[in-house]
Amino acid sequence: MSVNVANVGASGQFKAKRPHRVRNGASFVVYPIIALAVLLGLWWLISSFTNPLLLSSPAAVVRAIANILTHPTTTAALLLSLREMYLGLVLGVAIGFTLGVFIGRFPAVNNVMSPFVNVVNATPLIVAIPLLVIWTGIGMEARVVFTMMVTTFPMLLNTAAGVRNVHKGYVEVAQTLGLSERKTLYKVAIPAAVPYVLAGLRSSLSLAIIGMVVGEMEVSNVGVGWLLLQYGAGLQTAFLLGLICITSIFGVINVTALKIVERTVFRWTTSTR
Amino acid sequence: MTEAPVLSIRGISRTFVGQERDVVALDNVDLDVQKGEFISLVGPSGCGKTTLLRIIDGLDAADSGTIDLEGKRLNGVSQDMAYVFQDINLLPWRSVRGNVELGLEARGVEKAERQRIATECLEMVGLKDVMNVPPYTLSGGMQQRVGVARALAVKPKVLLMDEPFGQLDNFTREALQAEVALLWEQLGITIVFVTHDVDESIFLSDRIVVMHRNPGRIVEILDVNLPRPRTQAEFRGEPETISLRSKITALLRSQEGGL
Repeated sequence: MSVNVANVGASGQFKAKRPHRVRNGASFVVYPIIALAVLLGLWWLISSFTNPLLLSSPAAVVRAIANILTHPTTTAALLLSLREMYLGLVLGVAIGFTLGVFIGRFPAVNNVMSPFVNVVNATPLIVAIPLLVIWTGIGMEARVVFTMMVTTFPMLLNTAAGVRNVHKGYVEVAQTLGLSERKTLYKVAIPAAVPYVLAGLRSSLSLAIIGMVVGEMEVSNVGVGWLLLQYGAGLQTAFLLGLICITSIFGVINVTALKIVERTVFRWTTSTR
Repeated sequence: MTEAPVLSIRGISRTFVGQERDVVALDNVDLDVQKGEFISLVGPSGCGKTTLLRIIDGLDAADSGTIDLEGKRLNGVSQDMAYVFQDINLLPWRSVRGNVELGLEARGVEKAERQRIATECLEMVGLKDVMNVPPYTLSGGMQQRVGVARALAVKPKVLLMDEPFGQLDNFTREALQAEVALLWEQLGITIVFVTHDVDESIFLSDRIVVMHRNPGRIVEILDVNLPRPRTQAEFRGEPETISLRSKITALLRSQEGGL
């Protein structure tokens, strides 16, 4: 554990860096806004002399977004997609975490499981969709299961790596203090694996959206996947761009929520040690 | 010393098998530690002093030999001893007090009692005010104080300290030496202390075990006849300190190039 003697006190640890952070803080806000303005300007300029079928104007896309977010048919589709995504994500993350802990903790389980895990992980899971449809039909189950499948693996692999690679010093502390194997797992190994688990969760979050859309396009046409197909078939470029924006906002919300959790609940993972 | 020793170490040997060559870290080491004694293991790196301490605690296994604590043969990690590491390894997701509570959680102590004991131990090392902050916000010296409190919380009969102040600056190290000496006097516990700092061992110990490397073994055990309480300012100039220092230094120097 590296120790910086200058960083004394609960609130003092960032003091030395503050001027630097303030400058960074400003650049994090200001530069992206400038970039966004330039991009929007360019877009508007190009769209003003381009066939709107190829590129809609920013204003048309904003109108399309407003339309999608207010029309009952489309809002129902969005809500359905979100529900499926989070259901699949929660299941996948829970299964991935549990299996990951077992695989990371017990070398025997790892030896038995790792060939299967590696093969399945190397397989593009989309090939399983026809089979899923045969097993569970074309209802919500197949789409949720597909999202679950794609989100399980990053969580599983990261959790297993985290539990397996617990810092030896922490384990010796637990040993000398007399913690049982079980308590060492709960009180030391799993908490110590949290940075890995969060990295797994980050991958799972982005894969969940992909799983959701792919499931809706390949299993049965509902939700965001269905809307994308509809707008595409109807050559409604503004609506397509608007839906892409909405989907990416889903992703941004997920990642931001995770960042907030990291910086509040798991503040120690982002602090210098 | 007619009383039975609290710790009885007999015939401990440990060889680390390497690809190039084997290293005999400990070769048939015998040592008795008396109850309430402060004893230091001093020697060059590679003399097996840390290995011996780890074997006493059960963190490492000996190839042969036995260790008895109060007449009972030890097997694995003993609940009656606690270990203070050089790399303190406080758990960053727990508060300072949470770290001190860990050993009590292992023993199934209920929460209110756990917190009371942990607070008490942090008070002993002067850190009651920071018990709710995360450990990584503390300085190195404060972190090692937490390390000491964490070990004391389980009320060990024998406290094993492995170069605990090795990474600290001079002033902090001297302050902590004085604190440990004071705690030892107040609590009446037995301490086995590993260091390569000769003055540190003289300041703290009743007896100093000088070790030799390759193979790791005990070459001499010296009594420290300095009155207590000792002060950092005075002990260095004492004739006893000067004579011990030159004896130990000579013993260590004779090992140079001994590989």
